[in-house]
Amino acid sequence: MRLLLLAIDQLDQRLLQRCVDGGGMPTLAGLLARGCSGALAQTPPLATAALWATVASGWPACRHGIVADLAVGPGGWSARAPQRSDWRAPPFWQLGGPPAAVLNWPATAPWPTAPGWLRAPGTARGDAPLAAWGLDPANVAPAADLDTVRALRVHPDDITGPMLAELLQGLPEPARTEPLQAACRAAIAELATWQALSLDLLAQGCPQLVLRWDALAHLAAALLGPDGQLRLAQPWQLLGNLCRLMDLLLQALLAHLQADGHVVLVCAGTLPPALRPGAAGMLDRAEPGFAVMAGPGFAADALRQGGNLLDVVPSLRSALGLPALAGAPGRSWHRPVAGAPGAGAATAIITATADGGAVPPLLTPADLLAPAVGKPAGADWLQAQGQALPDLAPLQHIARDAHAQQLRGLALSLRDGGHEPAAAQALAAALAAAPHAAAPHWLALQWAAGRGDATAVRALLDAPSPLATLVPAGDLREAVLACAAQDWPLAEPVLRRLLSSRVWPLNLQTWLGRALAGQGRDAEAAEALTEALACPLDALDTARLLAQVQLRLGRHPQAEASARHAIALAPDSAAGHALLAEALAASGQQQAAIDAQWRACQLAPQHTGLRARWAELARYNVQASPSRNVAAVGASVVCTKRPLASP
Amino acid sequence: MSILVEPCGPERWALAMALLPELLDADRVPAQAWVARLADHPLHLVGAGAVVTRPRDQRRTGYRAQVQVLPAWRRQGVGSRLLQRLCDDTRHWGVPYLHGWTDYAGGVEVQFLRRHGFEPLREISHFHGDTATTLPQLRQRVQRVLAHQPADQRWQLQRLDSADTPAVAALYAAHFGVSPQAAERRIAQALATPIGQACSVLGRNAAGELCGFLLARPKDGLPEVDLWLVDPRHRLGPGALLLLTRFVECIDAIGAPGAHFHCHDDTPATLKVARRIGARRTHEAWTYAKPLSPQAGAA
Repeated sequence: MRLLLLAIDQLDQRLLQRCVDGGGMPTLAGLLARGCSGALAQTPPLATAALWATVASGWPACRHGIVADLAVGPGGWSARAPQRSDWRAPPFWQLGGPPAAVLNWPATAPWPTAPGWLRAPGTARGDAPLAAWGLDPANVAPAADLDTVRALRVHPDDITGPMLAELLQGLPEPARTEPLQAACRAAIAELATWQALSLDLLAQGCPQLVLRWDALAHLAAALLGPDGQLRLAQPWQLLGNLCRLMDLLLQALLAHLQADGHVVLVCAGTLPPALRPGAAGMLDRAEPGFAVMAGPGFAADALRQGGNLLDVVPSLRSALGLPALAGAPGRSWHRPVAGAPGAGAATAIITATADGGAVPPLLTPADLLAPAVGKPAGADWLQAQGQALPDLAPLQHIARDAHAQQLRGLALSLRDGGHEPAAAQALAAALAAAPHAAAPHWLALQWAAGRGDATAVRALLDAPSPLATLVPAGDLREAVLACAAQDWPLAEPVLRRLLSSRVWPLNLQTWLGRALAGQGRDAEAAEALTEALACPLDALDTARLLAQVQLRLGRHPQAEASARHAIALAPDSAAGHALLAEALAASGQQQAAIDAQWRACQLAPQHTGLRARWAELARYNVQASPSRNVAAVGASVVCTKRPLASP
Repeated sequence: MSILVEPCGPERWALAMALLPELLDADRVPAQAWVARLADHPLHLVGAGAVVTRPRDQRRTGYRAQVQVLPAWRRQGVGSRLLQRLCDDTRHWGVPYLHGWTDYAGGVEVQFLRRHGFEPLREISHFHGDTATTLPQLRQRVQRVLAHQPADQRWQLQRLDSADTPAVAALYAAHFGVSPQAAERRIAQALATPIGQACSVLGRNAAGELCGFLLARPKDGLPEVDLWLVDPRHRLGPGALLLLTRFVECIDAIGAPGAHFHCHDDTPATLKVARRIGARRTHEAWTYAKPLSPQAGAA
């Protein structure tokens, strides 16, 4: 095997660290020691299918097209899981490189008939009795492998007592209830299934294995009651035991890795709030994900600063000796070793000549299939035949909810990419599609308050919507209204009161930072915003604001770090790169500032202000040291001779 | 006129639902559906069939199929073609049996199923209980059982109303493996009728915990027991009997002369209760299943 990409759904970084420190994951500890590792920001939306499509494509959701865990089916009367045909940017395993075996990746069925190994048995979960454990043929390609998959997969009933005891180790007897044991059997069976299929593929000489484990996510979900509260007092003990099991399986996989092979382990997704102390509901930002990359070209400190899920594909392509994806926002953490074909990302800022597919166009609300209204086409004929039409409202309701989820996901992704007007349009459509849903309303309120639109905030709060319950009369309503009106002296004491009371589903510390900065108290604002970064909510806004405040305070290295953090959170947003340019210019790093500003221009070619600022930086640089700045002049020529391509 | 049988596809989903409205209440979206249409009109459907991949039956487990053909196009082999497609598809899933959608007492449906290799599987007994006969019997039995039960372990019975729907649906969903949404829909449908409102009951223990419920719905103008379920943790005791007694008291209160109920042949306790309270068996029906593999047939 030349490359192993192992994705683990919802593996929390703290849990992982705890297991490694406790000696429970020696294989992973070994990987950490010989590779690079670090936190990966997760670009919204946080729907499972969307996150893993981001990892596999190297593009944000608004470009790869998977924006929710549900999609509306053609005709508008059905909701379905996202499929392969919904991707607007192909996954990396379809863009060159050795043949890949792909197991359990979301939104990939039905598989196209393609050469190589492509298997996605999505029905590994044994939620049916063994005798009726069906396997959807659409989930496996090539179809000739159906019998192999059927023979190799493991049902929870196959899990023996000792295997179960291993997982339940350390749990007191009363906690080992029948439902918990069933969930544990299912988790072990899932992992065993993927392991059996992986080893079978490796035995056939598969050079590239792409595998996702979601047993942890399923087990975590099973620990919650219908009310979302934990049903087990010691969840970490059990999840830690599962991590130990995963480590053993990882060890078996690594035994097949060639000496010059690469292994990339990516953890993304978010554990349910009940399993994350201090987390409130409706979180739009997860705890950061985590990655470990090992193999030739992955230097130990490469990921120390952290990265983004978008960086996985550039790193993988570089490790495989493939050119970078043109215009893709991610950075490669891999540095080609001597003699290998180069694909460094640092130079890609100006020399965007890399091959690997066109930049996928932005997804718009109009691209998403909408739910149907009225009667289905052909209904009149059926009625003329004497067939009564049933009440189709349940179908419409399901399709409307799916549509609203998609629109909200799209809005989040667009906004992170700096496409504010399109994001607002998508969110408005989500509100119209599901007026009863709380999540889009909550988001609309935060955005309106963030841009200081007091009229919109008041309209949202006064309209009959779920916000009436979420933001009742009281301190929270008062704070939101004061922030929207940018009445910072009024907002500050209310925010401080709220902060001392309990955890809220929005980052009030960021708002406090805004209030302080609005009153010109930048030093205090910087302190509040630094504290706000500890909470993953609104991290992008917080990092950008912090960079601005630090620039004003003259703390240029800190401003640069904050701008880099903002870029890691949203690499395809021009605002972060422009901030970085300012921070670099202020600290005298003119050439780097020019590069950063150029990147901002590439990302938002329609913003003439960015272009003017770039020209200003470049001109100043040429005047200051003409002999040293050929690159800037060269870039200037490129810029004036060729219009910037829309990313 | 030539008829084509082809996969339904999501764009004709709503039309297929018009022919198979039962599927709207299914707890799971059908994995596959086929439609029969006029050859020159893609949207002029004459029949549809679908399979729901929720396993059914513990002994001869498999998926559940439904086929419907418009009356004017029956007896032309359309239903057979649809059913054949469903059988072929389901065979690829690797499950041993394909089940008929519901239970059938006889008639053309049974002939159709038998012609395609479906065999009778389970007997469903349908009962009618006259209030005048059953109520005294039930009260007598309840008194006898309650005499031996400590007062603090007795259930509090109350009418099931829409506020209880989420909890009741959760119990129903957990027990029958259906989705909570499908469970809520079924309960809401029953409670939308006067009989459902007047005769549906639930029981709680002293701690206020939901222990069981009986959902009533109208059938032929009389109440019928639609769902009767006691949480497995509370089955040791007279809870089920109490629910049934309160149900019969409710139908007595609304002036209905009796009620219908039915049960499987694998629920001997319920059959015994039916016999002991003087309920009259009105008819039997059968579920049908087709073995999809030679091994299943041999079993």
